[in-house]
Amino acid sequence: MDLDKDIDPLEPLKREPEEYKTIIKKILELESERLYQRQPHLNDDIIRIIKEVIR
Amino acid sequence: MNLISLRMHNFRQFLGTTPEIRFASGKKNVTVIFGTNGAGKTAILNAFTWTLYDSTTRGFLFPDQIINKAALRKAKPGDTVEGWVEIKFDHLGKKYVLRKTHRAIRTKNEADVVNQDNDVRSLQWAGEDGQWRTETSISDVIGRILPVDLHTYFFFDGERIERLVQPTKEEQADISNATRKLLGIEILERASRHLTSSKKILEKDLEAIGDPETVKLLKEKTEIEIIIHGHEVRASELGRNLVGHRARKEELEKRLRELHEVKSIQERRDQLNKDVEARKAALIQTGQDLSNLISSRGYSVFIQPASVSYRALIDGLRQRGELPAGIKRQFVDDLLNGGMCICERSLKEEVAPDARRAVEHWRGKAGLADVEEKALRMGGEVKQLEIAIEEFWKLLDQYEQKRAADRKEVARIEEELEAISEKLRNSPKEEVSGLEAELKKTQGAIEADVLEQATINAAIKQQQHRLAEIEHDIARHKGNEAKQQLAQRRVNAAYQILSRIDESRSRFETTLRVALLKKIRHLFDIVSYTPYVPDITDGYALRLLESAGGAPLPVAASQGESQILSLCFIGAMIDLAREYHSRKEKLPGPDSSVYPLVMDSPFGSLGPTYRHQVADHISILADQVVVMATNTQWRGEVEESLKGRVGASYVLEYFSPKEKIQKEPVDVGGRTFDLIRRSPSEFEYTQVQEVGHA
Repeated sequence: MDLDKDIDPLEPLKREPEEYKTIIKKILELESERLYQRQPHLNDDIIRIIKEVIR
Repeated sequence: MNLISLRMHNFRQFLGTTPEIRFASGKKNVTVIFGTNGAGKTAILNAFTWTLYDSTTRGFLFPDQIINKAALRKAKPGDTVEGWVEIKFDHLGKKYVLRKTHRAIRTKNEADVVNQDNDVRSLQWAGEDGQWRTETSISDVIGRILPVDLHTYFFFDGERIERLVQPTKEEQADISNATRKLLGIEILERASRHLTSSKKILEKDLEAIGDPETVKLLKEKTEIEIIIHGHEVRASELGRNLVGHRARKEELEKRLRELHEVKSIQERRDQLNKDVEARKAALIQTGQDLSNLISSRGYSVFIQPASVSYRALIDGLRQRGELPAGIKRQFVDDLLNGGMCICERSLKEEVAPDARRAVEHWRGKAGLADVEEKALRMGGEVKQLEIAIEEFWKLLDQYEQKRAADRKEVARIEEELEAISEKLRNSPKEEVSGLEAELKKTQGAIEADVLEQATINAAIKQQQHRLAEIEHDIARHKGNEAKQQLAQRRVNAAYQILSRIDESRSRFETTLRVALLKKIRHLFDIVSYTPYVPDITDGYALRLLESAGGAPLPVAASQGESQILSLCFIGAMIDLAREYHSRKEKLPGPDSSVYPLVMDSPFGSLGPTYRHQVADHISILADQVVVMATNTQWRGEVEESLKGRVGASYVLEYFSPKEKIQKEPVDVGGRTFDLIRRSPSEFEYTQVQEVGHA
């Protein structure tokens, strides 16, 4: 999209610290894998990801 | 998704197995399927949606109508008859074969057929190694290739497509969801939702081990969330009420319009309502212009005293004869340093001290030459400034006058509207006075609801602000124990990540609508001959605006324009998705940058110019275009425009059992086909004829 030049929608996802970037990446991948499901239950997986990264 | 081919067997009109209908792609990406009414064009559209998504166009497919009637009648009692559809397609280097089969058993009683409920679907795929594998999660795989809730945009009945333009509330949500889904932004929404509930669980962990301050904050947070929820429930209730009230209002106005004796009065009122809306919109616009003017040029007014004192200073210098200076300091210095005047008298101290003194006296005056130079330059700037101040006041006056005129006109129109209302309320005809009283009541209810809605929205905003503060405090609150610190860090992380995801989402929302609108406008500008400009409302409805003579107002689009607008929307959506998916950096998700468009009769209700324009641009709308058309829809402009872009053509020959049939010949690819032919038996059916790949 040509408008992104001014405000990059992906920029907030790339902000430091590294831990947050890792969690965001993992959560989005998880969501993307389950995109075909109407109502996936992902709370436990998300908590697991956060707990694994933040120790 | 790139469609390769379609085959049908005893499906609806198609008796036996059809030849493979192979779809064109690449440069000549248009496939045309000709057929007369009832020959099976809509059946082909439904063959796709039934097989891929188990969905059909409204009223199309009942289980007992799937299998071809002739095939059923020809079967022996006790025989099982199959009807199936097979679609071949490829996607991201994999080749897929999807087949869906419906079975029915011919019973002993001739008229009876027992349809079996469980249709069977199978999906095979082969990767680069060429090995075929069987897929069990069929819906999941198809859902990942082209999501089910997007399919109505890619497989559609051209004559009904204008519904996109004036959709119901649910359909509006669909349009907005479809666009987000196509760009993969849905995962941000889902992530935000899931993260919010995960964060709550983490907060509970913290609460269990947290210090008193954190516990207090969490308690307050829960209370606020309950209040917000209450407000939201009421707001959505009001929203529903408003929809009802507005529909009631429209209905009452319509009925008044239909009453012969007050028709003209109601029409006058309609016009006045339109005018008052336009005036109010103009008032808002002028208000914005005014604040723009003040914020960009208002400062000039405060510089005025400086410009006055500048003038006083320069005038004083002139009056005292200090300006113009007439001589440069450098010149005097050179004379003194050289020790010789221009009249060749010596200026040396020891020879002629008086002469030297006289020249030195000039040096004091000469200093002003610099002032003069600067004064000259500044004079120009001060002049500009004075002009700007004058212009500022002039514009301010103009805006104020316009606002005053608009306000006056609004007041006048409102007075006239009230007079009309009173007149109708006092009408001797009971029906009229009754309708008007009801209308007045409904308007009152609308106003009350709108007001309450605004109050609630403000309250929600306020509470959300407090909520954000608390969240911030909780996130910052430092626990002492190691365990608590860890729990705190996790809550903190969840909070920070959620806000990043939400920020990204909101940035997408902003850019998406603007980018989509830009593309729709571009396409519409190419295709339409009207001066209208497409717009997307807050609720994601598409509409056309006309701005001749002032503020843009929505126009009532004709069916043809609505269809064009819808096609432009689909084209824009595909283009946007294609552009987005070609970027280096993007959200994770299925790569869907190739899309087919399968359209049943897209030229049906268009006039010659629009037929020509749509045909001219249809091949750029999507990577693959499949068009079903009758001979009449095709002939002329459409044929002329699409000639060079058709990569494959097929003809549906309809066999009628009637003796007298009106022939319908069609010339395709240098051959003549009969769209209607005499059936050799008592059954009607359709055969697919391939015209040839270019």
